[in-house]
Amino acid sequence: MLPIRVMCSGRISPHFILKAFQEGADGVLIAGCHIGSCHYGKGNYITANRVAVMKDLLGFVGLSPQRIRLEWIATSESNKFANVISEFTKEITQLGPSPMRKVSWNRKAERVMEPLVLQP
Amino acid sequence: MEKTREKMARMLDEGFVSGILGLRLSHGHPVPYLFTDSVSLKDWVVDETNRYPITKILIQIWKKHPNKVIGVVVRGCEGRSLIELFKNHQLHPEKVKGIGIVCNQELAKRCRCDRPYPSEVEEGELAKPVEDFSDLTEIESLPEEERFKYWIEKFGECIKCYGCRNVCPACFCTTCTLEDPSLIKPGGMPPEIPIFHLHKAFHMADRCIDCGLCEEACPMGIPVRKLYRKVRKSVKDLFHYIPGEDKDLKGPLEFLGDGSYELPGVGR
Repeated sequence: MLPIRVMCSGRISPHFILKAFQEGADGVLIAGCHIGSCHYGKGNYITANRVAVMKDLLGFVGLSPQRIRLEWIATSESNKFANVISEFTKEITQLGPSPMRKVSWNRKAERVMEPLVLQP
Repeated sequence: MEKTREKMARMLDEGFVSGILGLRLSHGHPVPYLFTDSVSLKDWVVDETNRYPITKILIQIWKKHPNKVIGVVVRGCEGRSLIELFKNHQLHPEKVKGIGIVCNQELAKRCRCDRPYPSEVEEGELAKPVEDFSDLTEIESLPEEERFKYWIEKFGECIKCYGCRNVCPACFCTTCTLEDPSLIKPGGMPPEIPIFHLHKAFHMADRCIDCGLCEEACPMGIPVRKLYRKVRKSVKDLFHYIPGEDKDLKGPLEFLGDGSYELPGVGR
C-alpha cells in the first residue's frame, strides 16, 4: 500500500487515478471526509461524482470497477481506516493483479514504428 | 436551401452580421469560407454527406475580431457544440448568430444522431432522431477480459497524431492534459496505453456533444467515439445531464459547477 496525502479528496483529479493504474496499481482507494463536513465546501461531492463516472468508464474498457473504492473516513475514525484498508486489500487479492500490468508496449504500435525499407 | 440563402443575404445586407461562416467548393472539395457580402453567397454550399468542424474555425475568427457579430451555418451537432462553447466562454452568445440547416435521414442514421437538427431551422424536413446504442451494448456484453483485450488492441494502433483532440469541437484548452509531461511522456511512441485515450474520455464526460468527428478523423480507425458515447451516457444516467442541450445548465463534473450539492443518482 502506498499512501498519497492530499489536502482534500476534491484534489484528486481523475487523471491521478488513471496514472496510478498505468503505473501498475491493482486498486485505488480514495478516502475523504464525510459528506457535509467538507472544509472546502463541496470537495467530496465532486469526488463522488467523478468516481461514479470513472467506475463506469473503467468497467467499459474491461478493468473491474471494484478496483476503485471511495470511502468516507473522518480524521478520528482510525479504526475504520484500518478496517477499510484490510478489507480492500483482501478484495483486490481475490481479483488478482491488474490486467494493465501485462500491457507492455503494444506490438501493433511497434509495427507502425518500424523503419520503412525501400526496395531497390 | 434557397430560403436559407435569402435569409443569409438579408442578414449581410442589413448589417446584422459582419460575415457568415459557411462552406464553399474549392477544387471540388467543401472548405470553410467567411462570406462577407451577399454577392459571394452564391458559392455557398451545403455538404449533404460530410461534416466539417466549423465551430473550431469560428473560435479562431472570433479571437481575431472579438467585437464583430459573425453568423455561422450550423447542423444539429454544431448547434450543440456552440452551446458548449458558450458555456465555457469560448464564444459569446451575443456575438454569434447561428443559422440552422437540417441533416438528411441517411446522415443522421450513419451518425447515430439523437438530435439531427438545431433549435432553429429555416427550411427543410427534420430528420427523425436515432436512438441506437447497439455499439455500446455490443461491447458491454463481452466478458471483462475480452473487453480489455479488445480495447488494448484498438488503442495499440494509436499513432498519437492528436487528431481526435484537434478536430473535437468541445476541446479548446490552451494547455492540454494529453501534453502534460507528468502524465504523457512528450514525444515518443507509442503513447501510454490505455490511459492516453482514457484521459480524454474522462474529459469528454460532461462535454461530449456526440458528433463523431473524432472517429472520422482517426487515421487508424480507433473507435474512440464509443468511449465518449459511454461516458456521455453514464453522465446522462447518473446526473440526468445532457451536454449541449441547455445553455444555462453547468456540467456536474465541473469543480465550481452550478453551485448545487448533489450526489450521483440522488440529486437533480
